[in-house]
Amino acid sequence: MAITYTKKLLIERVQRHIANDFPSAEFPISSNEVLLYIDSAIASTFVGSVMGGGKITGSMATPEAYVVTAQLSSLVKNDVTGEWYATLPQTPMSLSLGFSITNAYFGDAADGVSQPIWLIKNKRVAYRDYMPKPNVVSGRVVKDVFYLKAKDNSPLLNLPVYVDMVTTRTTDVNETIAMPDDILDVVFQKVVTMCKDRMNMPKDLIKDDVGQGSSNVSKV
Amino acid sequence: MAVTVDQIYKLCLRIIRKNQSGSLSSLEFNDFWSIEQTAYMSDLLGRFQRSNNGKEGANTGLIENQTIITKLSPFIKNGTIAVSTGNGPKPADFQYELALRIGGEMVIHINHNQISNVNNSVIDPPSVSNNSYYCVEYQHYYAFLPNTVTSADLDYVSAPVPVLWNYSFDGSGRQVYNPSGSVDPVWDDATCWEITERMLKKVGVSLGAKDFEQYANSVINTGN
Repeated sequence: MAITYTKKLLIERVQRHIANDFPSAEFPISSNEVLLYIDSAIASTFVGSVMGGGKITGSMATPEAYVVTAQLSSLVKNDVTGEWYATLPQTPMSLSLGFSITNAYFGDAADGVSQPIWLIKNKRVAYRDYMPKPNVVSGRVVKDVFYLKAKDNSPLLNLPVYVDMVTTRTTDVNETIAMPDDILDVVFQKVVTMCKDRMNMPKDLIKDDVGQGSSNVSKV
Repeated sequence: MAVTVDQIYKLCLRIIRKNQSGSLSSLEFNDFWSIEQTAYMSDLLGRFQRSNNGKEGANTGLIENQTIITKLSPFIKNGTIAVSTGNGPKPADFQYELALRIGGEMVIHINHNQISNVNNSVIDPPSVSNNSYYCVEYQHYYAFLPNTVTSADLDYVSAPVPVLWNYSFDGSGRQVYNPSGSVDPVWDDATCWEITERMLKKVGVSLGAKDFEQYANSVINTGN
């Protein structure tokens, strides 16, 4: 039987590992909490592995398994700056543009895919505006907002924007997990460690006789 | 062949070596046996805080192993609770909750002093769409969160029905077993005999016979 690797699977795996069985209604860590632990563990593991890999090989690279393509919502014009913007699926990872967001472009069925959007760091925007560049659209990110601007200030109304970016958060627990298999063990261990921390905290139980292996009852 | 209440009553009389008009009347038998089966069920469900308030170790609650669940299985029922404004009454014969589900999803028991924080939770707020259900208990009903749920499925251990050795009178005015109207126990055979032997403790107290009490204590402690 082929098992699809999803976050739901990982949640169940963690819960069954800790409960040493199927968890019952008295299991003290909810699926959503485990999911939050998983999301944060993936994020920290991703950044750590990219930075660590860079130290060893001399060049940083984003493993493709983390990258997810998202179509952004319709672009809206910022009347103050003249830029067009849309919200990203999440705040990017704490790596430079190119590593957190690996690619961005316009595309639709009629016209195909545009040239890639030029990803520019915020601190370089002023400088780049005075540099020669082809007739492209450049983009910058503030928190989770993607600001776009055409070189000739052409309107970007109704242009569908696609972004390839590292995504750690979850919109659907049944989707195939965006993570290489070699990271699974690290993420699993991190989450289990967090859960064990919680289990060791004294706490009363609502229902009695939950086995010690699956309870967080005080050892007093 | 399931044990009948008549067989049990006859055994009792045989053990205490009394005939039908002896000191253990059928009314006493009905009472003693019914009380004893409730006590036996309590033993299976667990006796609380015999040792300390830490709720650990033996005798703290229902041990859901195969033996105990099999013994209790004649009393395990599945029912649907109708919920109105968040409140769902427990069944009249409710004894112990085994599982509570809404729409197939689990319902989490919370403490009463957790209600406000659960309502304000951003991770797992009470929600029908997210299948996050909670409950607390008041009097003889559950109070569910969110209070918009309309029904819940309850697996529970029901209280044992009292046995009844029904009788009619023979020509000499003696009680004669009448299967019609009698209520047989639903325990498995071995448990029926064990409850019967345990019941002798009460008979012993009633008759002032220490040997019955000692025998019953031996059964309670060793099973024989």
